[in-house]
Amino acid sequence: MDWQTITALSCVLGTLAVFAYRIARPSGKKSGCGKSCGCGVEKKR
Amino acid sequence: MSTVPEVPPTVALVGNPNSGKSTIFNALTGKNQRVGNFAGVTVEVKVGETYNPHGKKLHVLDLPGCYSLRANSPDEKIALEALTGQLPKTAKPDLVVCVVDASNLERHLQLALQVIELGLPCVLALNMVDVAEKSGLRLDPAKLSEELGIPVVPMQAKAGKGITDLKQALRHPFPPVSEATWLANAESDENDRRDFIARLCELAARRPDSQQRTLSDKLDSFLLHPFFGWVALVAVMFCVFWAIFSFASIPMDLIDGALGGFGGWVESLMQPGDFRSLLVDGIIAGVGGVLVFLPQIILLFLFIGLLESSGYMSRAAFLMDGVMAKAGLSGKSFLPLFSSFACAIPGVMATRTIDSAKERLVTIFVAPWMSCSARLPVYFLVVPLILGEKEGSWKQALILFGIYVLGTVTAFVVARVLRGRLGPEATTSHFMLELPSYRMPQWGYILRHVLDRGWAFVRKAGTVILGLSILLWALVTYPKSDSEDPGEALAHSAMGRIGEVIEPVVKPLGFDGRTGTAILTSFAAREVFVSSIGIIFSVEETDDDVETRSLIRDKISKATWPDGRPLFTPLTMVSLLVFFIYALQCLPTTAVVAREAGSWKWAIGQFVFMSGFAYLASLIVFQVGRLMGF
Repeated sequence: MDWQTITALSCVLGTLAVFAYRIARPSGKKSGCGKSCGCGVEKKR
Repeated sequence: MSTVPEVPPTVALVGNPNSGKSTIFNALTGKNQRVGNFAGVTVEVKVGETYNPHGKKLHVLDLPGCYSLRANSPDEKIALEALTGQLPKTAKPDLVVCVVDASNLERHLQLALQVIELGLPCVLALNMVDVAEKSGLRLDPAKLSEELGIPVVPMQAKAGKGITDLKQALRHPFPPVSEATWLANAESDENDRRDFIARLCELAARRPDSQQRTLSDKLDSFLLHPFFGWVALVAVMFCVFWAIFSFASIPMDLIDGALGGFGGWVESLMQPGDFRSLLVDGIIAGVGGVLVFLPQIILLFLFIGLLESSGYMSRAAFLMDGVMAKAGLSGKSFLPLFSSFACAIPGVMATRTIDSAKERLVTIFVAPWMSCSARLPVYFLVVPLILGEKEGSWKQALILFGIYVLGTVTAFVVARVLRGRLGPEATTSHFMLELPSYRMPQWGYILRHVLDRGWAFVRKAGTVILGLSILLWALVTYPKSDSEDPGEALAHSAMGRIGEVIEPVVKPLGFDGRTGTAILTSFAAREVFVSSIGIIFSVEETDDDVETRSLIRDKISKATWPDGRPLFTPLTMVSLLVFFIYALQCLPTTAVVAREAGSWKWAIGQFVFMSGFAYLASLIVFQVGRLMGF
C-alpha cells in the first residue's frame, strides 16, 4: 500500500469513527417538540 | 478574604411576535439579530449583556415571540420555561420587559398581563407609539402605568427613541411586583383579562370616533381580496420562483466552474492515487455538488426576508390557511412547505413556528415531497428522454410543472391522512396571526439573516456532507479492480456489488443492477445520480452540464438488457421519475428531521415510508404501463 492509499483509508476510518461517535453519544439537546404527538419525547410538566 | 463575584441580574424581553422585541434587544446589547415581520422570528433564547445607567452589568434574554404563556407551541413553551426559571443554564429573570405594539395594544396586553400574573417585576415597553399615534390612537402612558402598577416606557425602537428611558427603568432597585387585580373570577382568567384590557384601553388608549383607513388597510382590501388577493399571491410566488431559478443560475455556474477548476488544480499537483481520488472525486465533487445550491438558498432566504419584513408573508399565510386546512394543516405550514421547494432543510427548520406539535410533525413529514432544487438535474436528464428530444421544449416545461404538482398534491393527501391518524389536539390550538402594517424592508437585518442562513448551509456542507462524501467515495472505490475502465471499477466496488444484489428488487420497476447502483448512490443526495450514471455508462464529463447530460442521454438510450431489449424506454424513464419525486434521497434532511422532530424514530419512519411509497408508486407505474403496452 502506498502513502495515498493509507491516507485515504485513514480518512475513511476516521469519518466512520466520527459518525459512530455522533450516533452513539447521548444527545444533550432539547428537542423542539411539543406534547402528545407520539414522537417519544416526554413533556416535562 | 475573597468575595464571591456578584451574579449580574437577568432581564428578560418578552412580547408578541413582531412587537419589536428583537430590535430592542439589539439596541440594548448591540447584538445583531434577525428582525422579521412574521410570527416566530426568535425561536430560541438569545442572550446578551447591557449596562444600566449606574454601570451595573445586566444579562438580557430575548425570549421567543409568543401570543400567550399557555405553552401550546415550542416558542411559548420556551418563553414560559425561561420566565419560571426552568430553562436549563438560564437564570430566572429578576425583571421582565414586556414589549407591546402600541398600535395593537388590546391583543398585546394579554401576554403582558400573564407575565405580571407570574409575580415577576415588570416594565412595559410601549413600542411603536408613532404608528399608534398616526392611526389616531391617543395614548396615556401615565394612566397605563397607574392601572397596571408597573413602569411604562413609550418607545420607537426602530428609530432608537426611548432606549435611554428604558435603560433608566432597568435601574436598581427593580420596580415592585404588581398585583394582578383583574383576576376576580377564578374560573375564567381569560375573561377577566379581556374585561380589564377593554376598560384599560378606554382609559389609556382611546381611539378616534371615526376609524381612519390607513395605507395598510387600503392595500389589504386588494391583497386580501377573495379573488385579487389570490392573483397577487400567485404573481408574487411566481416572481420568487422565477427569480430563484433564473438569477441563481449565474452564480451557480460560477461556483461549479470554480470547483471544477479547483479539482483540476489539485489533480495537477498530485500523482494519481487513492488520496487524490478521495480529494477530487469524493470531497471536492461531493461537497461542491451541494455547495452549488448555495445561491438558490441565499436567494430564497432573501425573498423570504423581504416578504416577512414588508409584512406580506403574514397575508400569504392568512390566504393559504383555508387551502392548508384541507390538508389538516394551518396557514403557518405554508412558509415551511414553500421553502422546501428550494431545499427541505430550511423548510423543516422553519416548522418551529407552528403551534401545534402534531401539525408540526406532519409538516416535517411531508416537506421533502415539495420538489427541491436538488431533483432538478435528474429531471433535466430524464424528462427529454421520455419525449425523445433535446432539452428546453415547452412540453418538457409542462412535464416539469406536472412533477411539482404531483409532489405537492401527494404531500397534501398524505398530510391529511397522517393528521387524521395522529388524532385531535390534546389542547385547542388556534391559528392566530398578526397582520402587521406594511413597512419598508429592513435591509440590514435581512442581509444579516441571509448571511446567517447561508453560513449554516455551508457549515452543513462542511460537516455532514463532507463525511457522507468520504463514505460514499469509499463505497464506490473499494474493493479495487485491476481494470482501468471506470464502469468496471464501479461494478467491482462495494456499491456495484450491492447494486447487483438488489437487481431482483429494482427489476420490477424496470431498472437493471447498474441503474439500481446509481439510485443507491443518490440516497446520499439526489443529484449524485447524474454523475453516477455517467460513471457507470462510461460517459466523459464535460465542463458544460447540458452537454454532459446530452452525452449521458445518448449513451444510455443505446444501453440494452442482455437479451438486446432497450434498457431505458420512455416507460422506464417515467418510472424513474416517479421514484425520484417520492423517495427521500437526502441524508442531511433525515439528520435535520431527527433533530427537529426530537426523535430518530420519526426520521427513520419518514425515510422508510417515503422510500417505500416511491418504490410502490414506481412499481405501479411500470407494471400498469407495461400491461397497457407501453
